[in-house]
Amino acid sequence: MSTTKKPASNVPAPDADAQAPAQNPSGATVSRRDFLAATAVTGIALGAGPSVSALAQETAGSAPAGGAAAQGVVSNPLPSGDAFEMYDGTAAGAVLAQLRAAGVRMLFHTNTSGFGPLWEAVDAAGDVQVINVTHEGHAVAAAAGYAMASRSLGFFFGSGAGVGNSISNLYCAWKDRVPLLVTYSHGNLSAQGKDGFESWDDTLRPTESFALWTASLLTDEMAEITRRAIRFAYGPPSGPVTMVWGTAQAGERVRQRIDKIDLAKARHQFRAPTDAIQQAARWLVEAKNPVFVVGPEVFEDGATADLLALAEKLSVPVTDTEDDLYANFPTDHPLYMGQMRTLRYPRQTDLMIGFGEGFKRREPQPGTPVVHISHDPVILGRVYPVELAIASDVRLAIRDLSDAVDGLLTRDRIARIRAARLAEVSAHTAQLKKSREIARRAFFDRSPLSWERVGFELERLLDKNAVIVPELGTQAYKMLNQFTFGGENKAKYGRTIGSALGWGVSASFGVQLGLPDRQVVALQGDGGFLFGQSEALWSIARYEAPMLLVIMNNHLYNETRARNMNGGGRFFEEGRDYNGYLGDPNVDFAKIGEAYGLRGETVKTAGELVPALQRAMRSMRDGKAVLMDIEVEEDGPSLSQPTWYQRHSIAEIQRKARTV
Amino acid sequence: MRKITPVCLGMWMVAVWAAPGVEGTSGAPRVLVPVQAAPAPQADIEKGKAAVTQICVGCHDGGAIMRMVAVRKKTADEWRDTVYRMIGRGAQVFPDEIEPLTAYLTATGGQVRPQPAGGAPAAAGRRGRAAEATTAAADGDATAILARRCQLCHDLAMATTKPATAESWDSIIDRMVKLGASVTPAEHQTLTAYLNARPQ
Repeated sequence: MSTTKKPASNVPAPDADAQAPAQNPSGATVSRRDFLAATAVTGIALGAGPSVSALAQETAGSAPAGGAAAQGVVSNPLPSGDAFEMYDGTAAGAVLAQLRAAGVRMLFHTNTSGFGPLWEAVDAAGDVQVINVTHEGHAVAAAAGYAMASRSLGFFFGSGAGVGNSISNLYCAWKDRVPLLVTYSHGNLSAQGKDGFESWDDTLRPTESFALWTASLLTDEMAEITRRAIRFAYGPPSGPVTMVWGTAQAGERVRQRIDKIDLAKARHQFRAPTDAIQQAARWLVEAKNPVFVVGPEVFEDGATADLLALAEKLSVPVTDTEDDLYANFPTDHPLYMGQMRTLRYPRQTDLMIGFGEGFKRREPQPGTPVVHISHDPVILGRVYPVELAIASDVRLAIRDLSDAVDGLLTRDRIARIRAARLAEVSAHTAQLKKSREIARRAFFDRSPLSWERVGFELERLLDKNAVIVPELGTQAYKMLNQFTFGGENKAKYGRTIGSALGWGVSASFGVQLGLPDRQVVALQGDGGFLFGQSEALWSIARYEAPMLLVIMNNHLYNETRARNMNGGGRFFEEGRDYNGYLGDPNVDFAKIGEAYGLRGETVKTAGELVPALQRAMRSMRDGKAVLMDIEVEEDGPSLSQPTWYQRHSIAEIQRKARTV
Repeated sequence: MRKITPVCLGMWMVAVWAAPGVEGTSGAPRVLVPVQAAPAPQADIEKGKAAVTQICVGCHDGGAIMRMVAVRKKTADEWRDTVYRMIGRGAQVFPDEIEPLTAYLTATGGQVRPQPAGGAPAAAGRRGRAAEATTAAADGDATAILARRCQLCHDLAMATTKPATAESWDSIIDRMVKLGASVTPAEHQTLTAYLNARPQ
C-alpha cells in the first residue's frame, strides 16, 4: 500500500489499462479497475465497495490507520488532541481570540457604542483589520462579498438597533449560503418587556428566517459559543449565524479554551454511498444525451477543475441556471451550453446530473431523468422529483463518479464517446457563438449604448482574471455573455440569488477586500444603485479600493417594466407605467462618485466608451476607484409614453396654497 | 380578462390594420404607420414558427410568447433587433434562423396593437371586438385551441391523430398538460369533445 496525492475514492475504480483480474482485493497492489472487473463477475462489487473505500481512506490519512501503520508502510500517527490553547483576558477578547484561531483577520463594523473591550482586543492583537461601513446592511453585504471571495468567514459587529437595516442583505447571504457571523449589541434580557431605548423583546427574532442558528454570547462561554457559531455557519449547508452580545459582560476577565480551526476544512465533507455512485455512473455511460447542470456548490466545494475534467472525459454538455452565483464552468469552453432554460442541445436529454444545483428557479423538462448531487441533503429532490438523490460533497462525488466511469469503460471506449460527442457539441456551440457575434455587431455603434457593446469592451480591456460582481436585471445576460468566466478567466460573484437590490456595491467592495490583487468591477443598474447604495462608496474611498463601478443607466426599472407589460393589458395599451421610469430627475451618478472622492465618468455615446474605460484603467492602476455612468438602451416592450409617471408635487400644493 | 391570441384575432386584424397604432422607444408618443414590405417566403415563416416553438418557449411559455407577439406591431427591422437582443440574452438561435424568426414575427406580430395614448373610442371598440372573438374561440372553436395550444409543438395532423393505444383523448390531453402544455379546463373539455367526435 502506498500513499496517494489524490483524496481516496469511494468507488473501486481501477486503472483503465489494466485488464487482468484482481489478484488480491485487500492487498496493496490491486488496482481499482481490476477489483471491479473481478467482483462484477461475482456480483459482489457493490457489497465489497465500502471495505475498499475504508481501506482507501486509511491510505489518505483521513482515519486512524493502525492497520496500515502496523504493516510499516504508512506513518499516520493519531491526532494529538492538543490543538487548542488557553486564553486569559476580557470576554470580548475571547471572541476575537477564537476568531483569530480560525484565521479570521478582517471584521466588518457599523457605527455603534458598547464595543470598547472588543476594540481594545483588536488593538492589542495588532493583526486584525476592522472595516467601517456606514450602514448595517452594506456591512453585511461587504462581509458576505469578502467571505465569498476569500473563502474565509465574514464577521460583522454593530448595533442591535440596526437589525432591521441588516435584514435585506442577511437574507441575500442566506440565499447565497455564505458563512457569516452577524453580531449585534443589545439583547440584554433585563430590558425585556420594557419597550425601552433601542430595544425590543427577542432581538434576533427578525433574523431567524435567514440564520442557521441564533445565539446569545455568554460571558463564561464566549469562545465556545463563537466556535459553535462557526460550526453552524459552515454547515453544510453554510449560511449566516446571528448573535447578540447583550447579556455578555464583554469587559469581564475570563479564562477560556480557544480551539484552532482550519476554515478550509470547516465545512464537513461526506461521501456518497458506493452503490449510488455506481448507479449514477452506469446511467452516465449508458446515456446517449446526458447533460450536466452545475450550481453554486461546485464552486463552494472547490470542484470546478474536477467538474471540467469529468465533463471533458465524456464530452458531456454543461449548463447552469439563473442561480449562477459563481462561474462554475469556463464559459468559453465548447461544452458550455449557456443556461438550462435556453438549452436546445441535446434535443432529448436522457439523463441530467445536477451538481450542487438546487433546481429552485429552473426545473428540468418534465420527464427528464435526474440524478441530483448536493452537499445539502435538505434540497435533494425537493423541487423536482429525481431518479437518484446523492448526498455528498460535490467534489468528492465528481471524483468518485469519474473513477466509477473509468471502471465501467475502457480508455478506448471513453475516447470514442468523447470524440463523437465533442464534435456534435462543438458544432452547436460554434453556431451559437457566430449568432452572438452577428447580434453584437448589429448594435455595436449605437447610442445609447448596447449592453453587448459595454460587455464586449470590458472583456477586452480588463485583466484576463478580473472579477465581475453583477447586480443587474434580466438584461444582464446581454452583457455577461460577452465575458469569458471560469477557469483561468474572469471570476464572477453574484448576482446574489436573493435578488434583493442594494447588495452589489458593498458586496463588490467585500470581494475587493478578499481579492486585493485583482481588478474588481461592480456592474450596477441605475435602479439598483438607487436602492441606497451610494453610501457604500464611502468605504471604497476610505480604504482606497481601486475598483470600477459601472452604472448601466437606462433611466428605468427595465426588467419590471417588461414583466408588467409583456402580456399586454390596459397600461401597455395606454403606454403608461406606474413603476418603471427613473428619469425626472435624471441622476448624475458621476457626480455622486466624485462627491465621495472617486473619479467620475459619464458615457453617453458609443464613441466615448473606450477612451473612458482606458482612463478608468489608468485611474485604477493609480489606486483610485472610478464610477462610470453609461447611458444604455432600454429593452422590452416599447411604450407610447415611456417617461410617464404618476405626478405629485408638494411645491405645487404650496404654490396653490399661497395663491388662495 | 381573456387571453387574446393571434389565431382568434386573425379575422378582425385587417380592420385593425387600417387604424393608427402607437409604438415608441423614447420621447413623445409617435404614430406607427404600417409599412408595406415585400412578404417573406412562406417557407421562412414556417421555419421561423418552428424556431419559436423550440427556442422562445424556453423562457416564455407558449401562451406567454404568443401574447407578447400578439400585442407588438413592429417592422421587420425592429423584430430583427428583438431577435438579436434575445440572442444577447442567451437564446440559442442559429445564424440561419435569424431571418426566418424575423419573418414569422413580422407576419404574426401585432395582431393586437396598442392604441394611441388617451384611448381613442375606435381603439376601445377594437378591444371590445377582440374580447368577443376570444370568447368565441375559447368557448367553442376547438380548431383555434388546437392552433393556439397544440400546434406550438405538433403539426395539426399529429395533434389530431389518436395514437394506436387504448389511451383516451382525455388522458392524452392530461399527459400533454403534465409535459407543459397550457390548457384551461374549458379548453380541455372543448378539445376532448372535438377530438372524440373526429373519425379516427
